[in-house]
Amino acid sequence: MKIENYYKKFKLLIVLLFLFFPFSFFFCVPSTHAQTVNLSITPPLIELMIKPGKSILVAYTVVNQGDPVILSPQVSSFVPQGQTGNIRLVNELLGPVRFNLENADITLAKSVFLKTGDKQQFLLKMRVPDNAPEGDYYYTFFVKTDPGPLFTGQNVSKSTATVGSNILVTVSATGRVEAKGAIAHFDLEDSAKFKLFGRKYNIIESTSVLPIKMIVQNNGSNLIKPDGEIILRGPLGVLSRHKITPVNILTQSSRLVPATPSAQVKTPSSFALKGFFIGEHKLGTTITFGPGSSPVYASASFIAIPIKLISVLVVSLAVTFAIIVRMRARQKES
Amino acid sequence: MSFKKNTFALLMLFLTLGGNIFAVNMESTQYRVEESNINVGGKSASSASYDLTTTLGQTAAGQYSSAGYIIKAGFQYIYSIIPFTFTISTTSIDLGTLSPDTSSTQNATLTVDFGSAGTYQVTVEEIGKLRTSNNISIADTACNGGAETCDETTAKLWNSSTAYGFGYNMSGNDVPADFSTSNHYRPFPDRSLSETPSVIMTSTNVGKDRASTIKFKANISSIQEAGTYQTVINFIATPSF
Repeated sequence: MKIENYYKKFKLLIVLLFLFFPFSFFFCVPSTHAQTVNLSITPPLIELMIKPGKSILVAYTVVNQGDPVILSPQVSSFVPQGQTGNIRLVNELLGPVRFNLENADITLAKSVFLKTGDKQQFLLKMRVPDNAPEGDYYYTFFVKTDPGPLFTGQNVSKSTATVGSNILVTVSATGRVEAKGAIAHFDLEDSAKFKLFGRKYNIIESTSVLPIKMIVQNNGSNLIKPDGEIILRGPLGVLSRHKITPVNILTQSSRLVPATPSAQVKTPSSFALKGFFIGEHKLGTTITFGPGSSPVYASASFIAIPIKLISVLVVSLAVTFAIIVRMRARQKES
Repeated sequence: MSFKKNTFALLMLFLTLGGNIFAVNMESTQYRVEESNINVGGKSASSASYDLTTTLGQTAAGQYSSAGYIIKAGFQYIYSIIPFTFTISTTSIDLGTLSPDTSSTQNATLTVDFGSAGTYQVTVEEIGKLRTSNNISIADTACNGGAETCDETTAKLWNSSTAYGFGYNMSGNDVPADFSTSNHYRPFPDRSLSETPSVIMTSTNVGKDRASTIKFKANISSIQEAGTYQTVINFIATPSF
C-alpha cells in the first residue's frame, strides 16, 4: 500500500515535470546577458613616411579582457577635429593608400571571434601606388564589436565598442617634408585675466593658477612636431622653463600644444603656472619644426598684483581705523 | 530502486529549473573559433621583415632611400608603446517597461586606460532612433524645451515628466562641462541622419584609468504606441595622433 502511494506520487511528479518543460520554453522571459567589453589595441599610433610604389606591413595586437566578442577589423580615413587632438572618422577611405590584411584567415570587415583573454594579431598591409601624389594621408585602423541579435519582446538596446589606432602616412619620393608652422596664439587663458567693464587685461592675482595657451598652426602639406621650450622671466630673471611636448600637428590644422609640467586645470591649456608672482613677468617661446625649418617666436606678458593681500590689508586697516576712531570718540565722551 | 528513481526525478527537476536561456548566441556561420596560426617574431609590434621603432629619430636620408620608408610606432615623446584600452561595463541597455510620464534610466561605466600617453577621445552615436520593428520611433530628447532645449553638442536640463524622448547624461572623468548636473542631458547623434558623433570623454592630460558613467534615459507620452523599442549605441574610443 505504502509502495503504491509512493509510486502514485512519483508519477505525479513526472507528469508535472513534463508539463513544466514546455512552460519553461514558451513562457520564461529570456534573461539579458550583461556583456562587458574590454579591448586593448597596440600600437596606439603609427607614423609612416613612405615612397610611392612601396608597401609595408604593420602588426596590430588586439587583446580581449572582457566577455567573448565578435570583432570586425576596418580602416577609415579621419580628419582632425578641434584643437585638442580629437578626430572625426570619415566613413570611407580617402587618399591613395590601399589596405588589406595579410592574415591567412582574416580579411578587412570580416568577423573574428575572440574569447576572454585571447589576443589577435592583425597584419595590416599598407600599399602606396607608384603614381600616388605626395602629401599626408590620415587613417584609423579599428576593431568594432558586433552587438549580436537584439532581444525580442524587450526594450533592451545594445552598445557596441569601436577601438582604434591612428595611422599618419606621409608620401614623399625624396624624404623631404614641408615644415611650415606658425604660432597662432600664445597668451594667458582668458579666464585668468583681470576683467573691468567688459575688457580683459593681462593683470593677474599673485596667487592665481595661470593657464597658458599656445596654439600652433600647420600651414604646410606635411605634419609637423614642435620642438622648443617656454621660458618665464620675472623681475629677477628666469623663473621657470617648460619643455614643449612634440605632438603631431596635422597638415592645414592647428593644435593646442602642451608643455611640461602639464597642469591639471579644467580648461584646455598648454600648461599652468603656480606660485606667488609680483610685478611684470614675461613668457617667451622659440619653436622649431625639425631640421632645416626656421624657428618661430612668440611672447606674452602679465602684471601680477597681490590683489587678495592688498584687499585684506585695506579691510584690516579700515576696521582698525574705525575701532580707533570709535575708541577716541568714547574717550572724548567720557 | 526507489532511491534511484527519486534521484532521477530530483535531477530532472533541478535541470528543468536551472536551465537559463541566454539570448546572446556567440555562434554564427560567418566565423569559426580557432587558434591563430600566425606567430610573427618575438616583439608585439614587428614582423619578420619590418621592425617598428619606438624611439625618436631623425629622418635619415640614407635609410629612407634604401628602404623606401621610415616607420615609428607609439607616441615618440614617451618612448614606449602603451596599449590603448577601452571598457564598457555592460553592453545591454535595459530600460525595462516604459510607462507614460515616468522616466526609465540605465547606467553603464566607460573606462579608458592609456598609461601616461595622454590625449584620447570617446565618441558616441546611435545607429537610429529607438524604434519598433514596425518603424514607430521614440524621438530623441529636446530636454525640457524652450530655454532648456538641448542638442547633440549641448546638454540642458531634462527633469520634466512631460518632456519626452531618449537621451543620455555623463558624469565622471573627462566628460563635457555642459553635463553640469545629473539632470542635464543630450540626444544621441543619429548615424542614419549622418550626424557627427559627439565627444563624451576627452583629455589632454594623462589617461590612466579614466572612468565615467553614461546614464541612458527614456520618457514616453501616453499616446506612444505600445511596442518593443530598440537601437544600437556605438562608442568609438581612439587615442589622439
